[in-house]
Amino acid sequence: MWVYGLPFQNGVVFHDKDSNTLRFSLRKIDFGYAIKGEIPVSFKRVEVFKVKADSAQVFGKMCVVGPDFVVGFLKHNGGIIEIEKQKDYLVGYLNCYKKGFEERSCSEASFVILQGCKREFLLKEYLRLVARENEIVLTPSSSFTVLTAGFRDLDQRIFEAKNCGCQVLLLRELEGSLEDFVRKCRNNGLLAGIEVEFEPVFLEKLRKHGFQFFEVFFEENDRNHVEKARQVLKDLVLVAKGVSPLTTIALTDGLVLKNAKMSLQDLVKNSLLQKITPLYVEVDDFTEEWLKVCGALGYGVIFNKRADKVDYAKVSCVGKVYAQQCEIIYLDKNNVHKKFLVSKDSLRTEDELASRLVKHTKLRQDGRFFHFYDER
Amino acid sequence: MMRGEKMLELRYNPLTDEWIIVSAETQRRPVQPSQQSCPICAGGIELPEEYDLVAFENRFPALKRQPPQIHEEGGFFQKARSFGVCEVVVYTKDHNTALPGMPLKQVEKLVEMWIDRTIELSKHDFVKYVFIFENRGKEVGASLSHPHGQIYAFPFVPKRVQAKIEAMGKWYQEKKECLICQVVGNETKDRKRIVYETSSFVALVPFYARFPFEVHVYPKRHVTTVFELSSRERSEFAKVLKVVTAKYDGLFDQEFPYMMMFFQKPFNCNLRSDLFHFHVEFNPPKRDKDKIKWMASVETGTWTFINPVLPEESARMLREVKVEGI
Repeated sequence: MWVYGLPFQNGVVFHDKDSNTLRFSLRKIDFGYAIKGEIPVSFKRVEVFKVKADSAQVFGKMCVVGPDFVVGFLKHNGGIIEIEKQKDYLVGYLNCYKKGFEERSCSEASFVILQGCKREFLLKEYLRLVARENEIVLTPSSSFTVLTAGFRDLDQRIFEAKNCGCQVLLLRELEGSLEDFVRKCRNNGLLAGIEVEFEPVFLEKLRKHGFQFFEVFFEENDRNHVEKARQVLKDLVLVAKGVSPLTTIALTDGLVLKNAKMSLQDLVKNSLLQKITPLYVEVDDFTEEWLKVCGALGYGVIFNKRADKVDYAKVSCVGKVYAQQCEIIYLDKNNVHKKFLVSKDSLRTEDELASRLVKHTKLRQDGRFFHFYDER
Repeated sequence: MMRGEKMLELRYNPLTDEWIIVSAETQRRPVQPSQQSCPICAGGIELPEEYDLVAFENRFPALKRQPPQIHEEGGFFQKARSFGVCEVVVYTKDHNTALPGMPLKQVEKLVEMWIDRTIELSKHDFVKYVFIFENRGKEVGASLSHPHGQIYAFPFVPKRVQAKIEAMGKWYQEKKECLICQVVGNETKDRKRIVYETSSFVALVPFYARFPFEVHVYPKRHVTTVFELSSRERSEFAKVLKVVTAKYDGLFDQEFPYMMMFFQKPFNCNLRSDLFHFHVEFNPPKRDKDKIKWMASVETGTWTFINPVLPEESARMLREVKVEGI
């Protein structure tokens, strides 16, 4: 049958252009709609959505957040997603004409339009849908703390890393003995890490050198490249840089956020992305407040210049992210219940009473755990 | 299956889209032993050492951290391994007391223990739901009289919890506000069904009570889990539990049986959990001093409850029970 002059079958509308067919279907979901499109590669660059830019902003290179709406990509298979500002509009594209896509006949991209509630809620709902659509279930973050190093200051950096509880030493230069670097890291109980640009052959070579942690910069926001890196690195730690969370989803062990001038409040806001990927921040210089927020929210930290200890929370939850002041409630590793009140550039701690209990766990001969609780 | 190995597996019921736990182990649980043979008294078979509070893995579990492999996979029906944890939570070493009679300080410690158990158990990838509960009295199947509760860390989100999550989502979509936050606001103004109130909690017989003396405890602040409660709220929560259970005992001047159940958000899954408002349900089986409200055909078969007591009336009765020395 036809609807509005377009062929319609099994819930899908077909739009023919130059002897190719674009197919799309719309599905009602809670708080809005999900739209799935199958786009022939010959369409090259397709405008997927376009929204007025008034009071809206791009979040995570994958969605547009307005005061009472969120429009964002949900999943894509083939092609590159892009969001561009064009005059008064923010426009989402699927770009299918990059080199390497010739083999495919179609790309798929789905996106959602959520509206009618506060943006804070809609953003959380959007990220939940992304996680569900991509079958991601993330348990509490297990990010690493990382210290960068070169060959000249290696011994000093190893000492510093151990002193500050960093688990990874990240090499940022290649002019030296990579074997020595890897050996020294291993001898000191650290993971040998390296920062590189995406290049499959080179990654393979570094893997064979024994590196265990890779911070890979991807020039293109192309999921095929991330897939390739994962294939090369197998089970080693792969942390991506330069791409959107949706491009790395389910493929990497983390994503480095661009942290140029990121306020404390942005740090809290961006932590919502941890619903779909573990996050890392790179810091040249930092304040105590910065590290407290990173620890409370489970961010992996890459220290560029000097390192410090990051105290990670056992669990945490974030209150209003878009309000003037965000609230982070968390339990530290000693079960001390704390509250942070975070405004743009300042943080106020409201320490609450520590748990009055201490726990001793015993393992019985039959394999059962017994947890004894007593007053401190 | 190995000879002597007890059957333990999950079976999927396609008629109702839910999982059933098949556990032959649980058949072996002891039934109401005397104090001399109480397995969870200090010196008993489970706890030979002295203790204050303890949580331990059930000797007869319905779910296990390392469950046996399942057999006959790939048949017509769907099965799964019984991943999970079943813990016994011993409230105190005093055999002859119960939640209403325990010192408030002990109940506060119990709240801290529930919080720590929730955090620990939620860290297992396979755990999707941490269910804290207490069956008090033989009328609801309690197998030991020593004050204790249990925790089931489920590998799936149980059907009734799913129903609550869906209902809270639907309400939010329509009203743009949390369901329980609105109920709390409404009930604290109306006051007809309030049983007890503190600055952070309200205990009430809900408008929609299924059991004659059902009481729900709602935190006034929107928290999704027990561990989000602040220190002050934790103390108040302990007090509310003690007051509600003491009122129950005072209602007919007898040890009042109940099922106490904590409902919190699911873990490690993509269900919409931010909207979940942590709460406690008390479902007592009694409809009068010597009468039981049975979970009979209508209730069990259709999930439709016939409540013979007006919630406003049972709230008044409970409100009027004076509790001393809390």
